[in-house]
Amino acid sequence: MAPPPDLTLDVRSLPAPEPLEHCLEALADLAPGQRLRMLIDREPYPLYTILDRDGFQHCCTLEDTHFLVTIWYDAK
Amino acid sequence: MQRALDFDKTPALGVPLPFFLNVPLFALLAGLLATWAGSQAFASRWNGAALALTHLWTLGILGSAMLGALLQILAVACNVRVGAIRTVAGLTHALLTAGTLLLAAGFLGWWPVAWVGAAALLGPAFALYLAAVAWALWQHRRQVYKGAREILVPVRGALAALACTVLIGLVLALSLGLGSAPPDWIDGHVLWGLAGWGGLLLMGMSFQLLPIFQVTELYPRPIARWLPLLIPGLLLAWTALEASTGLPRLMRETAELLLVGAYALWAGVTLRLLWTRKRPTPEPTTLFWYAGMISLLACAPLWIWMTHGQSPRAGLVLGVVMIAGVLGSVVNGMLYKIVPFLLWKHAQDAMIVPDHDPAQARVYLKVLPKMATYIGDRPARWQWAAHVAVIICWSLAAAGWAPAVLAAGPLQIVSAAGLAWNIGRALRLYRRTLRAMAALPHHAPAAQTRGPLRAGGRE
Repeated sequence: MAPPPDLTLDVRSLPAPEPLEHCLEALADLAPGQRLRMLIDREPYPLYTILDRDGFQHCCTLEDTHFLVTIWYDAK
Repeated sequence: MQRALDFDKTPALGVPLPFFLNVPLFALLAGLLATWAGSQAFASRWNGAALALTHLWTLGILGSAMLGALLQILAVACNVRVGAIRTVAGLTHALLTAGTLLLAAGFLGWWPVAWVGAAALLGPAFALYLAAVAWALWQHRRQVYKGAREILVPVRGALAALACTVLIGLVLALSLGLGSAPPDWIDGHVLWGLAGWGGLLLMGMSFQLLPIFQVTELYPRPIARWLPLLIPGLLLAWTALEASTGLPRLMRETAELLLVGAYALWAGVTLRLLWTRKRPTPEPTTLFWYAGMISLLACAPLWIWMTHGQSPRAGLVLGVVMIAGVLGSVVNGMLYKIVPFLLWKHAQDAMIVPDHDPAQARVYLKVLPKMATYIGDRPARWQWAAHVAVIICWSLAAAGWAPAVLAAGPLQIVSAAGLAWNIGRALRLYRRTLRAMAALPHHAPAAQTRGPLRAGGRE
């Protein structure tokens, strides 16, 4: 069965820590195999610690005007 | 410019929080004193009650908040962590609090022994703090985050200005206390304290915090680069001109004019950034920033009045607008961001997710409140209105308007009580959150045994 489509979360123009709050809410509802793609103005360093704690994997790339953080759960 | 904060470097909650709790307490004391002293509080800047009020504001309210916030911001924004931070913060807080109370009592009762005692408490408080922060800045100079220069330059200037302010203050307090004639350095004490320590620190914080927490554009690079260098230069030039004899007064006034212009420029740019921010509806903190920057712009005509007018009250009004209007507004507004943020962050840190299981993290998310719920928007706006009323009323009282003199103290009590209530509500919610988390089945007992205000964070 194909994995569910990626979720996209645009948190640009939100003040700290709202991007983190929205991201954590979205992660709580992430289906198995699904990925969250978050568009954000600045690299969310504090989020990485939380992701490590909660067992998520992530990668971050710098796009033209923002960062794209992709997050998924790697159940091992 | 740096636009990210690293909250993993956040010091323990017990480091900055006592400093922040001093703010409503000293604000309440200032209100009670202004009510009790009545017209004496605004009769002259040399009156004992006025001097006591001034130092309750500058040391108790502004000094406490700024010293606490700086420990926090140096760690998260610059990667500069002060060694033995709990000891340094605890001792500084205790000595500062006791020293401020003793100094205010000394002014009220005109007791020389209290001034000597206050100097013996405040001197070590600031010496310890400045030495610890200066050592940390030197020790971590190679690990400072790239892009943090825009913050560190004004912070270094602010700390140097604080050292000058404290040194002059100690000389004045000890001279008065020991019965010798104090040197005529009071204008320098005021200028280095307000335009140096207070102004530069606020400026440095604004470069970092407004884009992140108010979603403004970045400050123009020339402003962020040159103003923090220009202002200490002007303060040094003013001091040299003040100390020298035979030079025309016009040269010193020119230095003052440039200083006023530099701060007016920063205020104008800040207002423009706030006005064009990406979120059209102002939050309470935005309103406090507006109040602070409009007060700063008002300082320019007040300075002209003081310099070229004949009224001895002009200096008193300018002092009120700078202390309560500019610095008081921004400090009060920042508390509405920094306190909920710290509580939210430390509640996050208190989560323990067994086996990295997202299902367990989901359970926690249901009991963790959002940052915006720690301090409600309406009570904060209400307290902002009370604070603005305080600025207007105290300015009119300083100008000599009798009804404002009567209302000044009670209004300050109302504003301080509102601030205390709002911060208290945030702390109560935090305690409830920790209790709710501790009651979760997978919460490890070790995490809940160190008291209701226990939370994560580093030494």
